Amino acid sequence: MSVSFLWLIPFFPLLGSVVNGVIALSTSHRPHAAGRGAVSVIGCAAPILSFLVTAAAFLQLRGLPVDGRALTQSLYTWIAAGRLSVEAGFLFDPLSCAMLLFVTGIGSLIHIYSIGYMGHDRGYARYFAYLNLFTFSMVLLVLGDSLLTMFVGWEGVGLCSYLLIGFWFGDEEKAIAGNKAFIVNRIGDFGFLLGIFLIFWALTGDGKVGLGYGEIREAAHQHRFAPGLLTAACLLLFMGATGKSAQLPLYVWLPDAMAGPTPVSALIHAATMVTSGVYMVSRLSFLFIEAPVALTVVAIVGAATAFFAATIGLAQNDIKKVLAYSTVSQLGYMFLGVGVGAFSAGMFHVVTHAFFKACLFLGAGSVIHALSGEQDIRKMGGLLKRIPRTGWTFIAAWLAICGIFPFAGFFSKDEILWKVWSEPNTIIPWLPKLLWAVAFVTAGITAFYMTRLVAMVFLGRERISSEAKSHLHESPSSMTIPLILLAAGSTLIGFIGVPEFIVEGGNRFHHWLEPALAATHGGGVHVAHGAALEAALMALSLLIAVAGIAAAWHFYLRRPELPGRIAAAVPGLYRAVAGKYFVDEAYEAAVVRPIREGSRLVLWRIVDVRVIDFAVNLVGMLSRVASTFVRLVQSGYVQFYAAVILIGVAVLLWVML
Amino acid sequence: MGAITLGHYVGLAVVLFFIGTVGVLGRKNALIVFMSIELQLNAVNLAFAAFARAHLKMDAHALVFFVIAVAAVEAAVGLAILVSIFRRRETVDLDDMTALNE
Amino acid sequence: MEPTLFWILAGLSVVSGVIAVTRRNPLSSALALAIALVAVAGLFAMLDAHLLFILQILVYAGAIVVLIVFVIMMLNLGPEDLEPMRIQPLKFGLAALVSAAACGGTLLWIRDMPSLSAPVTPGFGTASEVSKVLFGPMLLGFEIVGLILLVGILGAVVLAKKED
Repeated sequence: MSVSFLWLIPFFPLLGSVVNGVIALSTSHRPHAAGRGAVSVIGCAAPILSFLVTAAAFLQLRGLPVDGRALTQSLYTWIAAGRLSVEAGFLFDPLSCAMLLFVTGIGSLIHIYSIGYMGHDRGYARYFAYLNLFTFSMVLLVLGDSLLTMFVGWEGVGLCSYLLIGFWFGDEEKAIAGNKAFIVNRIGDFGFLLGIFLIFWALTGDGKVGLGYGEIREAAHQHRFAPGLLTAACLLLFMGATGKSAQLPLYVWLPDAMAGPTPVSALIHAATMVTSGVYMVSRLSFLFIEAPVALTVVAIVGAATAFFAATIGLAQNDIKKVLAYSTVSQLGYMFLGVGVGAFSAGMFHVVTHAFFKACLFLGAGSVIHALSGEQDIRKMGGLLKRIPRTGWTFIAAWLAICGIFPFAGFFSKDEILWKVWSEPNTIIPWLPKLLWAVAFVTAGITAFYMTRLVAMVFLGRERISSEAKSHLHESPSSMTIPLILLAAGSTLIGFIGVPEFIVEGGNRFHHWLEPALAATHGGGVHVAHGAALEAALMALSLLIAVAGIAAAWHFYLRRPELPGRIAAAVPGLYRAVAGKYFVDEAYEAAVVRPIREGSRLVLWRIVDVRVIDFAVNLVGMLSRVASTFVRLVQSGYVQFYAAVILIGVAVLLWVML
Repeated sequence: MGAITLGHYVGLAVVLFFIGTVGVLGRKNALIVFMSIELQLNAVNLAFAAFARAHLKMDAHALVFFVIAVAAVEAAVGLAILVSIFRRRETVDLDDMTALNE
Repeated sequence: MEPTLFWILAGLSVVSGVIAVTRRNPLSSALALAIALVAVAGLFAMLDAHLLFILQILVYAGAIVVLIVFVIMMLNLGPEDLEPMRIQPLKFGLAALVSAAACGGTLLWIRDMPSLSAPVTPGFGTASEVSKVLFGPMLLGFEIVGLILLVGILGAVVLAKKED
């Protein structure tokens, strides 16, 4: 069904970004001038208005019959060159609807939170301009109806991520973190772009190629892609996802991205942008489902990332770093879900994760705000009594990420685990059980390190420095109200996806997405004979979560000296984990330094100096030699020139007449 | 003496044009070169007028009008250039003005 | 009567043209040029180009020659300035030789030309007839000439301005 109002969703944030950008530029020389009120109103109104339009579209979409649930709007012919003819247009189907609802909804909350968090910052207007621009790009990424439109949004969010990580660019370390994010993302984007090229190349036919989803879906259904080509294209697209969504081996930028303001970490590096890889795979589910090898790779990478990042999270002492590794780990979960073909389960975890991780990050921001910038959890403790609103919302989100019933994470994590167990793998038959075991252990580790975080920040003995203690205060209501709303979401949002074996038709999220996603080989959401097994697995995962919490509780509250003794018992392992397995150092040694040294020794000293410079000098020398003869003609005597002109005219006349 | 034909006028124009050419190519004084150019322009104008008379069409008169207008501009700008060069270099000798070879 | 007048004017213009390009003193050249220009104006009149006749007298013999004379007097070159710019026989001779050859060739080439005996159409060469062409098919050119004049005036002012 074609509608004409979808353009409003990206338009409001774009407008807000432009207006705030103008304000930022015009007030940059007097940072404390008036206009903060206007910036706040514009900056927050933009995503809120987008959210309202999205909600209206959602209501309209819900009124449509299941088969025809898609709102489209075609804007104009964007690129028409040769065989390529791309229409700029929007597609609002159940998948983009689910994504947009929380992108604009949670986005609005984080915008409001930013009023309090960034209130004293010099670059207030600039911050909101970037944040609005990010919302615009993210909406474009989700709402676009072709791969190229998605790519524009994809690059746009990457740019905004870079701008916001390096928001305090005066600090060199933060500027470098921004560069790192940008460069690592570029590596992934390169693969993404190659994947688009491959698909374009493979879409041979008589007509024009527009790279629209509908067109690709049609081609996939007709098996017009060669299998090898399709696998290669899917793997390249997934390479883009590993960059944007921080999966192995390109996850290294995300922990460093915590250099940005905390609301940015919540919005971009937890709730929305980093999940765009999962969205992309789900969006192209009809393509991935035809490439089982690529899908298996997705699942393996997801599981490995989930486990790997969770173990690093065990030994981090920076509150935001813990959450960053937890985000990488949870993203791995999502990819594990989509990798086994359970696209709706992956998307479900995207949604629930957006709520509880945004809540955790904003809570962390509130803690940092309360402690005047302190981020080391060894210098916190006992804060639950001091800042109760932050504390209790944090605890709700903590229970959600641990997967405790009835919090949101329980339902989504469990659905993924069950799918991993039950979906057969056509390539490696024993793989599902292994992946399940990895994910299962990861769930326990997750519960452990998240409990450690809560225990060290909010419970136990106060270890706060006296200076920070004197300024200790609960955050303003512009920050706590979003926290409370997000905590409520973390608590309740899981009920949109209740397992089918408990309530028939309870997994409403799955049924909502069904028309937009490819059907898995294993059939629908309900595997009849597995009800008892599913219940058993569910109890098991609940058990390991509780075990993880209990262990951490014991280690960090009852016997705080134990962790140190364990670390001392296995010093090598502890150093490896605390040092993040030295992946950054390995990349530095294996990639960065060879490139730098190679550039210096080979490209500069030999290629540039000996070859390129020589060629340039040769050209210069040749022209100089040639010109020594030619310059004799240019004597500077104007009468000589006049004579030459005369001769020229005479010759011309001779020839012409 | 026979009747005067178009050929007489055009021939006169050719002679005047080449007298001007001798001045343009042969003299060193920029002022005289300048005047020689005016003579050349006039020769061309004469040819235009003669052809207009032969064909009884007015278009050539309009062209002569343009030539006169452009010549006026050329006189103004050219002489201004001469004056400013003279002010700077104290000469109007064309053989001393060879800055174009640099 | 008419051929006589033509030959007188033609001779006058050629002789004064030769004088104009051969004088050492530019002031003499300017006076000779003025005579040549007036002679050509007379030829315009014989060709029934009434408007051109007027313009030739006004703009050429009047404005331009006066401007040249003005500049000559302003530069005020003395004999010691003019001495190095006297005619160099070799250069001038070469220019004259080449020009004479070219002139002869061109004259041979244009030998056969029609006569001018056809009676003139009414109004030929008058201001109103020239204007019909100027403001008709050549309107754009006319506008551009106006623009060129403006630019020329500005350029002359800028160039002649004394540098501070």
